Amino acid sequence: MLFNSFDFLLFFPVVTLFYFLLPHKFRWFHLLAASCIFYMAFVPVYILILFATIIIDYVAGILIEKASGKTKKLLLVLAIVLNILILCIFKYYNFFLDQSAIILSALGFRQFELRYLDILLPIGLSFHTFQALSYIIEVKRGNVKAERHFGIYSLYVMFFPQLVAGPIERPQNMLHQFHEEKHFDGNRVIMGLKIMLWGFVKKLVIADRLGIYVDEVYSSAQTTGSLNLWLAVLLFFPFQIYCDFSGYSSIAVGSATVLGFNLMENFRTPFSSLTTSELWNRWHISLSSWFRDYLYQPIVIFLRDYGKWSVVAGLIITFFLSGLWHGAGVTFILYGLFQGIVIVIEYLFGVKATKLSKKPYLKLRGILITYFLFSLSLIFFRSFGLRKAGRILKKMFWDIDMQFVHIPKMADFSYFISVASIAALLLFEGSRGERLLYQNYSLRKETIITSGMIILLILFGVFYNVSFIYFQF
Amino acid sequence: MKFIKYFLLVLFVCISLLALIFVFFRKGYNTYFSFEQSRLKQIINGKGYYDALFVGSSRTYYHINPKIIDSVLNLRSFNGGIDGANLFEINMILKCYLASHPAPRYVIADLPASAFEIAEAPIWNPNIYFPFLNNEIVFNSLRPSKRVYLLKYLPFLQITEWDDFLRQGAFAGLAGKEKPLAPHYKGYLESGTDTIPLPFKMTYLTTDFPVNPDGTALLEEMIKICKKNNIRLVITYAPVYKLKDEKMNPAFFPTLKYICDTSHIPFLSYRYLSINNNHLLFRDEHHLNKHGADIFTTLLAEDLKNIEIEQAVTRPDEKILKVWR
Repeated sequence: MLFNSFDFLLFFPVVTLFYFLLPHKFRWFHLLAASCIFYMAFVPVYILILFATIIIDYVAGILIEKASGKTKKLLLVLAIVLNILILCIFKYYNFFLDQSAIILSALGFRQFELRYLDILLPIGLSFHTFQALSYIIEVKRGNVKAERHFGIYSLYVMFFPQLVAGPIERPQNMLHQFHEEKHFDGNRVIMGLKIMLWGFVKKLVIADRLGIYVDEVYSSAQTTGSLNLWLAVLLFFPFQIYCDFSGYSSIAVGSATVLGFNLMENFRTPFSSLTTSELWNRWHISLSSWFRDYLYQPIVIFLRDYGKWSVVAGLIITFFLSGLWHGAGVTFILYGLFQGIVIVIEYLFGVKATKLSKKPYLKLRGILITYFLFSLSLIFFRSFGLRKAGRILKKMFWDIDMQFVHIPKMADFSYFISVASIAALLLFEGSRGERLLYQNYSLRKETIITSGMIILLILFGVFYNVSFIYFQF
Repeated sequence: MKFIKYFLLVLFVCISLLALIFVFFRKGYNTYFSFEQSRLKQIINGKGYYDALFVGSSRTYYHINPKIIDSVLNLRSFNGGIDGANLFEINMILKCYLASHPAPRYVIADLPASAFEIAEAPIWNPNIYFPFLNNEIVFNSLRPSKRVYLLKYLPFLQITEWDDFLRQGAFAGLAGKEKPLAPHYKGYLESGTDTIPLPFKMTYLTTDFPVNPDGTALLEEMIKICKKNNIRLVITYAPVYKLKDEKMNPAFFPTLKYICDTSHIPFLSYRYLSINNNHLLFRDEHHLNKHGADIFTTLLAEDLKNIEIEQAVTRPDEKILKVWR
């Protein structure tokens, strides 16, 4: 079920109402049932894959906790392998076949018949696999006790607000919350609704409008003008993806808040970052902290004898896999590697946000360079294929024609609203306007804030039920 | 308690403010799109009598000039073509027209290649009908694909269905501007003098539009409606540039011809006219420009005269062959 669908508009109030009406002991079941309905609204049969992951990790958690020494480690490795295997089969199998064929033919082996899997990627597979992995790793590390209640554990993986696109939660933050009894708190509900509405504004007013232009320009990159590409690559797409994903995260955080749960923050004004490494502490925080805790740090510790090269190796491997996590394609790997290489350069040359923040012009330069590099890397993220990405880069920086081709789906008003909404977003975030969402005010002020966002949504929202970009992962 | 007060207050503020804003938006919209709106008003709520009603898609809207028809056939005709209409929408228009007007003597329906494809949302641009949700036929036609109850009783929600062109139009209308239009007459809108640039490039996707059973049933329904109201129905297929519709309709003509034959409905196809090779008469592969439309309307008027529209057509095949040039 899409957050930006009419179904969700009915689903969420009904779920919330029954949640608070039911006695505490039945609430887990109610939320689990609601989460199943939410997930099955996409492709019902894929819930079986989710249940397979849940059963594996539930059993693994208990066994890992009970085991000791090498058995503990072995069980962890086995559970990780099983999780990754499921992910690989559904997400990477066809990609691996393609790449092996290329490598084998380059090595002179004859072509062989390949059998592709003709299936859709289960929605949110990468997200809930990572969330499940963080559970078994934390159980192994002894930071959290294995969950004995199968229903609560299932809910930890399936909790509908963050089921399909995160934030990728940690068991320490979530599991205990499902055991605690939540009482209806009007102020909290108001806060949650405001956060949700802000998410909808980012998604429907900004992201989906920018998406109309970006889709057109990327799909006709060959015939479009260089100016169109500059606008799409350097302004519209970075803000589209930011508003799309952070919009999703806000709706997730807001709906969890209404129900009485706290989800982690996933974005913290990333475009004001002074360096790329700072940007990755502010962008998709739940994923970057996952990679930091479970991959980067273990690599650096493992290679600690190699000094600073352990960090370099850790960064490159982490960002390579982070790229691959996003999608089964060379372009996604390049997207990840691009980030990794920039951060390695920053590390080797000692570029630090703390240093840059001391002088205003250094600060501004840092923000612009970081934003520019990130925007460029998104070309690989958005282009389906290396050839297309190459063509776009060529037209932007080599075969410049200084033309702006009219995009039939864009009215003059669309450009105006797009640019104005980006400016308003920057102003809002720059002036810490988000405080308006995360604090409670007088009834009059709350009414103004909420009504303002609803009116903005209805007057300027794009209601085409456009899916969230990160659903594909 | 605070939450309930908050909820009610937000509801009250939003509904009142949005209702107020919508009054202005609607006013602006009606000013800017005054031609389209008054034309639809004439079709859906009008009362006047016309001898001939032309229905169809944009290939009717921009092709059939009632001025020529009226002068050649000495009739009163009206062009009721709607952009993007398939048989579902064409039928809706016909029903609306018949519900408020006296039945015309002739209905000339031009069916586009996509006429038989009835998708889940069969109305191409539902926005144009929102001001007519009080009309039962419009309401029921939109009901399967739109939340018509919400749109009717909370009309400001209609804005959520608008794209930026409509929003822009509403703002421009508020400033007193009207959409710049080519000359128009009795439902017909001139499509200008642009021509197909050479070398030719396809403007439309070469989709193979399926023939749905729902689509054929709708054509049969249209035939029944016309028979019931004693209306003579003529089906036409307007010119297309150099047969560029070939990939779009492999099943279209056999189906259409079969239904017309069995129901004894004259079918006039203008697919093989010699003028169809002249790029100077077309705006794109499916639409004639003003000059092309004038020539086509004259030819159609002559053909309608030739097949002696006043008389019952007993040998439709013969007539079909006659106009297949």
